[in-house]
Amino acid sequence: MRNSILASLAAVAALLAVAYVADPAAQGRQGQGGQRITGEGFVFGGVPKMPNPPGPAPKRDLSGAWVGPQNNKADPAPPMTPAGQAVFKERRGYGAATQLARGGPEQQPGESNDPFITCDPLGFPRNLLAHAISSRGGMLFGSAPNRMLIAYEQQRIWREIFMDGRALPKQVDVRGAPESRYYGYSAGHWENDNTLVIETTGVDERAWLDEAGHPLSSSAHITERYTRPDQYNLQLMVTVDDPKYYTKPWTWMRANFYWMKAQEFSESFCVPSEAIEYRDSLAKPSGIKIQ
Amino acid sequence: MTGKLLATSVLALGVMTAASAPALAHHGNAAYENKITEFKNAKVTKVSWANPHALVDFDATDAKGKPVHMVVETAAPQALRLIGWTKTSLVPGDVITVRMYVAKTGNPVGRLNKIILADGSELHDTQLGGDAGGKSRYDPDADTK
Repeated sequence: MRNSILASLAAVAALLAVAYVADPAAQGRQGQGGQRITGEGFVFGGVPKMPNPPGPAPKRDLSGAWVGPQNNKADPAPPMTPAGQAVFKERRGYGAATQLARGGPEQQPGESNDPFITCDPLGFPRNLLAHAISSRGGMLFGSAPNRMLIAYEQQRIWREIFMDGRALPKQVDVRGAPESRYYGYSAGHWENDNTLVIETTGVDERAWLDEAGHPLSSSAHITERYTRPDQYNLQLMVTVDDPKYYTKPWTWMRANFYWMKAQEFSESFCVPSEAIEYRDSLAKPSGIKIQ
Repeated sequence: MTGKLLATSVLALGVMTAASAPALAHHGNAAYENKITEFKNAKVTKVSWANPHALVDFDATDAKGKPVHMVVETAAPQALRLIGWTKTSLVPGDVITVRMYVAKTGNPVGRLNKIILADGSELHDTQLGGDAGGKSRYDPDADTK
């Protein structure tokens, strides 16, 4: 019975796939280059659906390219400590995120001091949001001895996740301890065959936690939990525990990533000369006086 | 068993077709007028396919017939690719119609609503590219819903 139902579903999926190819009317919007990029057959713009139902997830394996985050349902940041409030007060983001976070009318963007305006590193975990340039990006899991590598499409940067059980730095930037880093120090382990947990410490305090400018201290502990329920879906939950700046830990990201059918990345950089051209030829004349 | 399996399949399909949340604006649009200004017979002079926002420079005439050189911003290339743009969708020399929200400062700059190419096809902005005007967002899936 189970096999016959699965066979029927596969047959329907195959028929639908043929219908897409044969019927231009079913193909949704065409890109300028003639590529169909949205509408039916896509999870969302630019992300094709994979065959349904998806197969089972391979065990202890995330290798390959994923795109996200999508449908991010984060909890609001908890109240900050006085130290956190003092840092946040000096941060001036320039977007809708800032308006939401600060609960007031949109400020004049001219006041912004977001370091990414001139392409300073996003740092971890802000790079997971990806929306500093767009709202999502590609993420490639690979491997090297003793470690897992995660490469990110936006900014073409990578992280090393050590899988050899090593301890993470408890302190940084004090005598005898390592230096803080924009992408911190990360170690991972498999909680079960489908769930990878990554712990990160030692991040650089110059990086913002998000576009609104929430602070993150170098003593913060960030936990990522990647769960792969099947072949083509990946769920990510990120918690931030930073007692120096926040009164309690919280879930900073709860989002979906999807298997990239083409498994190919575009190139997407924040280029300082382009950012400066934008600032001078468009933003300033528009009254967007970014610093 | 059959019901459970079908329910699981439907659920999986639902998850995969869940609508995407709109991207947050990279910056707000308070700097721009609320009404659309249209420039016909605009000649593209430069295209910057760049982050954080792609820019299109063009020569045109304003409502009083005076020659103007405008710069209009749109979304980042990463976002524009998803709604059909490519790096060569516009090239210098193209004659187009530009609908845009100009800056309140009065300077010759603004944010794109949409561009209409010589063959009638359209290139929308994401954030303010909606055909409803009023700084509405562009929904590329609207005609497939």
